Amino acid sequence: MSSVNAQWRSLEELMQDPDFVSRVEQEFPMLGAALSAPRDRRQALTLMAASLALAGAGLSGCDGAPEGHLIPAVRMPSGVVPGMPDYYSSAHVEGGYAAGTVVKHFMGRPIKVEGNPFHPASLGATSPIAQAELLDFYDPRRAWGMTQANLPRSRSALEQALGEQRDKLAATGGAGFVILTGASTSPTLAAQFDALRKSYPQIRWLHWEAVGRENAEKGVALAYGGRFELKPLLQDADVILAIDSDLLSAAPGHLRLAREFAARRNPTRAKMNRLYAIEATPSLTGAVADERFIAGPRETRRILLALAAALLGGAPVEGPPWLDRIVSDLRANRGRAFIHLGPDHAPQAHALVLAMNEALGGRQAVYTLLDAVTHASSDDSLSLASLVTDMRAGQVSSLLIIDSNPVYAAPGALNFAEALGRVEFSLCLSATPNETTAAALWAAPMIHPWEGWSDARAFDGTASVMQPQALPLYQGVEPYHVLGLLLRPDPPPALDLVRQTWNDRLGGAVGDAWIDALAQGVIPNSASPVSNRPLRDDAARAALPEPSSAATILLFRPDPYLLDGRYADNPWLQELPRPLSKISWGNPLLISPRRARELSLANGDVVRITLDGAHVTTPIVITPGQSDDCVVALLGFGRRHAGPVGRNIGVDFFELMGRSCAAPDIQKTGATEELAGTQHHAAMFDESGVYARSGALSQFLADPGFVRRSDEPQPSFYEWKPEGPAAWGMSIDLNACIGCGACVVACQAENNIPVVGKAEVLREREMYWLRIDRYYDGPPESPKVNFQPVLCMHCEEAPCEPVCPVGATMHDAEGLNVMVYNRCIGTRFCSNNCPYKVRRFNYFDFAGEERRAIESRNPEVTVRARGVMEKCTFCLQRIAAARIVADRDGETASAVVTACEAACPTQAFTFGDLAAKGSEVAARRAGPLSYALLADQNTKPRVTYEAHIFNVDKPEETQK
Amino acid sequence: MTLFQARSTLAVSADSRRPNANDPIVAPEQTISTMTAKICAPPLQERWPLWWKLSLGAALFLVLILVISIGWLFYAGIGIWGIDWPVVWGFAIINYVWWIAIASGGTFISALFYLAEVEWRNALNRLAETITIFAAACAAIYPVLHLGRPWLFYWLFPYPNVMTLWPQFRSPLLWDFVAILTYVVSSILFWYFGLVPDLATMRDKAVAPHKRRFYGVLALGFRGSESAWRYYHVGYGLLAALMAPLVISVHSIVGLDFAGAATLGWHSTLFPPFFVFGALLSGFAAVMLLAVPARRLLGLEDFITGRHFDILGKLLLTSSLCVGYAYLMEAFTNFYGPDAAEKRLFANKITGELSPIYWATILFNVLTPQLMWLRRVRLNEIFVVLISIAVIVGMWCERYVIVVMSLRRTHLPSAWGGYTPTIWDWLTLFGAVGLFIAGLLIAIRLLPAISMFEMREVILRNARRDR
Amino acid sequence: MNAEAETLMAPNGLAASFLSEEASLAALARLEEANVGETRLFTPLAPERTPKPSRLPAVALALGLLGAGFAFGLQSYANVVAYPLNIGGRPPFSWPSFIPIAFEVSVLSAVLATIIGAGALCGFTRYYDPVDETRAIRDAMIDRWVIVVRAANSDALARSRDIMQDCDARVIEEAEL
Repeated sequence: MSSVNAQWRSLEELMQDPDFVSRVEQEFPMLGAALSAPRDRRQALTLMAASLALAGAGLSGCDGAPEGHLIPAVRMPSGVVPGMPDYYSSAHVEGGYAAGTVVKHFMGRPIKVEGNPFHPASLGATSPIAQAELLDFYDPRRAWGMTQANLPRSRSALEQALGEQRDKLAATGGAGFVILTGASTSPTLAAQFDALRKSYPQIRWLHWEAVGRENAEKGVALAYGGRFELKPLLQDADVILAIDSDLLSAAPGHLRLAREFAARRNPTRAKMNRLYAIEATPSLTGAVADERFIAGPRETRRILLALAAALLGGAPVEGPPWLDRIVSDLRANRGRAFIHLGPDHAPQAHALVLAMNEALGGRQAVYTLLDAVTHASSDDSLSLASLVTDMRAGQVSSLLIIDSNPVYAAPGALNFAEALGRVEFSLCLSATPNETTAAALWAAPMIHPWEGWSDARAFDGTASVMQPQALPLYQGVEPYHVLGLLLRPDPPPALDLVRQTWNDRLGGAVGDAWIDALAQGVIPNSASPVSNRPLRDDAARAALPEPSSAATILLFRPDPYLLDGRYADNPWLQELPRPLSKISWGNPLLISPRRARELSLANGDVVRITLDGAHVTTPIVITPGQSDDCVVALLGFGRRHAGPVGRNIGVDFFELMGRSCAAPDIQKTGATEELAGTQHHAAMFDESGVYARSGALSQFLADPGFVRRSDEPQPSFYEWKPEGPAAWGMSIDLNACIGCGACVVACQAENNIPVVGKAEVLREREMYWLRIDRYYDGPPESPKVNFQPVLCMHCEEAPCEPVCPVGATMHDAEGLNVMVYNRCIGTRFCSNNCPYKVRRFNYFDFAGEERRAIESRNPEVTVRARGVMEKCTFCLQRIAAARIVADRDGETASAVVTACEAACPTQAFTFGDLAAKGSEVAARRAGPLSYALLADQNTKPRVTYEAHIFNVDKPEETQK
Repeated sequence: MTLFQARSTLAVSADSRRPNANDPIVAPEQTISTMTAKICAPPLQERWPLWWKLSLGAALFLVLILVISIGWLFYAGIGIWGIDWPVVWGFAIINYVWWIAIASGGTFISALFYLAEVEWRNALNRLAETITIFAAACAAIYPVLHLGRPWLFYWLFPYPNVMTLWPQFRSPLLWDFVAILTYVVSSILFWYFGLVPDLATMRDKAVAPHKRRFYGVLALGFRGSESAWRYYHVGYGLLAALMAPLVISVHSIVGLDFAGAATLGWHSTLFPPFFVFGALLSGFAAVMLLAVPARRLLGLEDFITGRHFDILGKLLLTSSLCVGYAYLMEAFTNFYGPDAAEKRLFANKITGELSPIYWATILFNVLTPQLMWLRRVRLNEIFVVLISIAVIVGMWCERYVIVVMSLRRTHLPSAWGGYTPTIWDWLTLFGAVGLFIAGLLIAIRLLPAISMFEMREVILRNARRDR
Repeated sequence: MNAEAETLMAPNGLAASFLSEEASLAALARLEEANVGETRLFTPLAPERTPKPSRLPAVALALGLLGAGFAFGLQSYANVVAYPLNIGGRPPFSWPSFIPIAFEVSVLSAVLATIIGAGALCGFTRYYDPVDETRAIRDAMIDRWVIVVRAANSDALARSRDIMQDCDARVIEEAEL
C-alpha cells in the first residue's frame, strides 16, 4: 500500500498537479516555490533526481508493464564485446520527415547519436535536436502512469475504456470520433488509419503541427492541383533567391540541402553559387547569403508581385531598386536559378513562386516535384480551427490525441483547453506529462521512438524502419497499440504491423532484405516517384492576401531548437546558444535597432505586448538586420506544465497567436530581465575582419591569398617538430559554416560536457569546448554575419602549457595539447594565457550536480571533477580507438572523425593527420584561403580556417 | 580637502605632541634608561585600556568572518566567488598582490636603511617589520584559497613521490610560490632575530615570574656579552644585506606572474620594476598610517617625531612619483607600440565602463600624494592618515585594473566578458584585514614597539654629539 | 665552620656595573693590564669598538651558492631527466626560467645559514650562566655596562675591586663563577 501511496504522490508531483503544489506549499513553502518555478539549475536537477526516485516507487505499483525488464546482463548477449561500441540505425523524425541516424551503444546503452551516411536526408550529418534526443530518451519524467482525471489508473483500466470506445465506434460508424496527431510520413500509421476508416467510415483524423508547412503544401496544391512534395536540387543551382526562407535550417531535408549548398561555396574547390536572401528577420539562410536584403511583410508582398511581373510578364510593378539586379541575375541563369519561399507566406504566394520557378525553367534541373510524402488528414476541410468549432458544437464525442500538445501549442485565440472540456472522452498519449495530458480526461505515457518499432519517410520519400534501441525504460504504450485496440481487443504488436507494410517490398517478413534495411537504415528505392504534373494555368492568378497595415507586425517563428516547445525539457537544447542572438534559456522578443531606439529600449528591457485583449510581458533583444516593420516572437518557451528544466523558462507567445492582425501594442514596463547570452560584447565590432576573415569573390580572383597578412607566420625561437607517427590537425571552412550548432551539441554529447543552467550561464560559466563565434560587420541595420567555430587550437607552441606549475597540460608526440585532469590543481593560469579562451573551468561540481542518467554518459570520456580545467581534446578517445585498430593492423592511425566533424551538415570541419600522404586536411591547410586565428601570437595552431568568400563583385558589399 | 579645512584640522591637532618641523630624531631629554623604561612599560603593564580591547574584539570578529568564508569556500567550491569565463582570476589574486606589497615596506625600511646607516630608521623598523610579517601572512593565504582544488597545493613542492611527477618549473606561479615562501620565512626570522636583545631587556625588566619566564625563553639566554654582541652585529648586518635584494626580487617575481603571461595588458617588461615601485608606495603608506596611532596610543611621541613624518612623507612622495612614471610608461608603450589589441584594451581601461577605477588609481596613487610636497601636510597627522589610506585603497584599485580589466578584454571580442564580485569575495578581503589588525594588536601587547637596543645607539650618539 | 671550608666558600669573582661605555672600557683596560684573571664585558647595546672580522659572511655566501646550485640542479634534473615533457614546444632545458627559483633558494639558504651560524656564535639557547646569579647582570641589557671578573686568586680579587672603585663602578658585588 505504501508503494501505492508513493505512486500517488509521485504521479501528482510529476504532473505538477496545481493543488498538489498548493498543498506542498502549505507544508514546505520552499519546495512549493521550487516546484512552481525552478529557475535555478541546482534546484531543477535535484527535482529531476527526486522525480526519478519517486518514479521508481511508481513503477513498482503499476501492473501490465510490458514484458521484458531491464536487468544487468548475466550472460553476455551475443555480439556484444565489452568496451566496444555497437551501432544501430534509427531515424530522427521532425514534422513527420525522417533524417536517418545511427545510435551508438555501449554494453547495450545508447550514448550518442550519429548521422546515417546512407540516408538521403542525413548523409551522415545530424541536427542539434537529433543529437539531443539522447537526453529525452533517458528523461526520468517519462516515468509516469496512466491517469483518468489526473488520478492514477491501471493500464487494464485504460484498455477497458478503449474497449468501450471500440464498441461505440462500431455503433456510430466512427461519427464524432477524431484522432489528432502530428504530421506523419509513416506508411504503417497510414495503413492503420486506412484500416480504421474501412471499419468505421465516419472516423476522422487530423495531422496538425503547431509550426507546420501547410502553407507550402496548400501552395503546391494551388499550383499543381494535388498533394506533391517540392524537392530542391541545390547542387545544380547557380543562383538562389531565398525569401523569408528556412532552406538551410528547417525545411524538409535541410541537412542535405545545406550540404548541397555548401558544396559550392568554397571558390578553391568549386564554382561558387550565389545566394540572395530577402527576409524580415535574420535567419541562418540570410546569414550565409551573399547579399541579404531586409523587407517587411508588406514590402515582401510588393517584391513578390514585382518579381512575378518581371518573370511572368504582366503590368510592371515598382520594386525596390536592388531587385532589378536580382531579376537580371535570375534571368541570366535560366534553368539554373531557383526561388525558395518560407513556410510563413500564404499559399497563394507559394503558388506564385512555383509559377516563377517554372518560368525560370529549373524544373528537373534545380528542383523536382515528387508525390507527397506526408500522410493526409482524413479530409482537406478539417483543420484545427474547424475541429475546435466541432468540439464546441458537441459534434466531437471522442478525441484521441497522439504525441501532440494542442492545449499549449494551439493558437491562444482558439482556447483549445476549454473546447477539450466539452469532449466526453479524450485520451492524450505523450512521452512526458504536459499541458494536454493535464487537461485531457485520460492520459497515458507514450513510449519513446527508440523503444518501439515504427517507420518514417524522408523528404524525398525514402523510407526507414525504426527499430527499438532498448527495451522500454519506463512502462509506456505504443500509439500502434492504442489505435489497434480501436479495431480489435488483441491488436498485433507493432513489429508485425511494420513488417506487414514492407512485406511485399522486402520479400517476406524475415530475410536478408529486411536485415539489410535495418542495418542500412533505409529501404532501397523507396523514394517517391518524380511527378510530371504540369503547372496549372491559374497558378499565378490567385491574389496575394494583404498583410496587416499595422506599423509594427507581430511575426511568429519557431525557436530553432525547441521548435513548438516539445523539446523545452531538454537541457542541451535549452542551453545551446541561439545561432544569431547567442542567447540561451529564454526567448526575448526580437526587435530592430531603429524600432528599439524609437521605443527607447535596451537589451533585456521588459515590454508588454497587447493584441486584442490578450497580452504577454517579455524582455526584448535588439536584433541587427531585422526589418523595422515587425517584431518577432519565438515560439516554444513558457511551458507551464513541463519538467523542471523547461517550466516557465521564457515566454509563451502561442497566447497571442490567431488573434486578429490588428496592430500589437508594445509598452515599455520599466522592468528589465537579464538575458543569458554567451557572447557578451556589443554586437558591432569593426575589426572582426581580423578574426573571422572574409572577402569578395572578385578579391579572391584578383589575389587568391589576399586574406593572409604579410607578417604571418612570424619567426620563432623554437621550431617544434612532431615526433609522433601522426600530426593531428583540423581545417575549418568558414564558407561552409552556417552556424546551426549541431557540432556544439555533438561535442557536448561525445565529451560529457555538463549543462550549467541559466543561473551559471548568466555568470558566464558555460562549459562548451566548442563554441560558434558570431561576428557582425557593418551597420547595425543590415550587417554581414560571420560565423566562426572556435575550439582548442592545439597550438604547437601552446601558451597555456608553460604557465602551469604542475604540468597538468602538455603536448603529446602527435601534437595534441592534452589536459591531465588528475594533475590539475586549478590555478586557471592556462586559461588566462590562452588567446582563444577555449578553456573551461569547473567552478562547481557541474557534472555531479547534473544528475543526468549515468548510463547516458560516454564511458570513454572522463567526467570532470570540481576545480579542474577542461577543454577540447580533438576527441582523443576516438583517436585512441583508431590507434588501437592501427596497431592491430600494423599501420598508422589516420582515419579519425571528430564528433563535431561527424555532425556537421556542411562538412565545415576537416580533421586528420597533417603528416599523412594526400591527407585532406593538409591540402585544405595549404589552400590560399587558409589562415591561422591570431597568427600574430605565434602559437602555431594546429587548427586553421579558410576565409569566408562572398560571391559578390564589390568588396564593400561584404563589409570587409 | 580645501585649505580652510586643512587649517582647521591643523588647529584641532594643535597640541604639544604634534609633529614639528625641527623635531630631533629623538627627544633630547630621553636617556637610555628613560627610553627603556618608557618602551618596556606598555607590554609589561597588567591591564590594557579599552581602545585596545575594543579594537581587538572588532578585529577578531573579522577573523571569524574570514574563517567562515574560507570554510564555505572549501565546502562549496570557488564558484561562490565572482570569477567566470574569461575572468578566471579575481579577488584572490588582487588581494594577494595588495598584501604582499604592503608587507614590503617593513623590509625596505629596516633592511635597506640599515645598510644606509640612517638613524631615523631605528625608531620605525620594529613597527615596520611587524607590519611586514602579518601582511605577508595575509598575503600567503590567498594563493591557496585561489586554487580550484586547494587541498592539492602541496603538489607545488618538488618532493619525490611514487608518481615520479615533478612541478613544471617554467611557470611564474612556481617562481612566485618559492619567492613568497622565502620571503615569509626570512621576514619572520629577521624580525625575531632583531627582537632577541629587546626580549632580553624585557626579561630583565619584568617582575612577575611568569613574564620573566616567557621573555626569558624567547630571549634565548641573550645577555649582551661582548662576544655575543659582536656576532649578533655581524649576523644582523648580513641578514639586512640579504633581505634588501630579496624584497626587490620577490616583487619582481610577483610582477612576472603577470608579465610572464602572454595575456593582454600583462605582457610587458615594465611589470617587475612597476611592481617594486608599487610595493614601495604601499609599504611606506602602511608604515606611515600605523605610525600615527602607534605614537599616540603608546605614547611614543618622543621617539617617532616630526622628523620621521617628514622623511616618510618624502619617501611616499618619491615612490608615488615612481609609480606615476610606470603609469605614464604603460600609456606610452600602448600608444607607441604596434599591438592593436593592446591599444584597444588600454582605451577601454581609460574610457570604458570601468574607467572610474583606473582614474581612481591615478588619483589616489599619483595625485593625492603630491600633497606631500608641502611640509605642513607631511607633519599633519590627519593628512598623513588620509593620504596613506588613499594610497592603500588606490593600490588595491590598481591591482583590480591589472587583473580584472585586462582579462575582461582578451584578443577575441567573442570572449569578452564581465566580472561581478560576490559577497564572499568581499568578506574574504575584509576578514584578512581583521587578521592583520589582530596580529598587530597582539604584537604591541606583548613586544616592545620600538627596537630599544638600536634606539640606545641613537640616544648615546646624540648625547656624545651634544658634548 | 673551619677555615678550609671558608676558603672553599669564598667568592672568586666580581661583577661591577658602570654608567657609561667609556668608564667600563677604561676599567676593562686596567683590569687586563693588571692581569687579574678572565674578564667579561656585558653591554646594553653593541659595543662601539670595531669588531674583529668574522667568517660568518663567507659561510653564508658559500651556503647561498650551494643552495642556488642545488635549486638549479634540481630544476634541470626534473625537467630534463626525470620528467621531460613537451611543454608548449619549449626546450626541456629552459635555463632562463630556472634562474628565479635558484636565486630565491640561495637567499633562503643564506638566511638560514646566517641565523643558525650567528645564533650559535651568540650562544643562543645558553639559558644558564653563573653570572646570572649576580644582581648587576640584571641591568646589563637595560642601561648598565657590566664587567665580570673571574679572579685567579683572592689577591687578584682584591686588586680588581680597587680598580673598579677607581673607575667609579656604580655597583660592585662578589660572585661565585
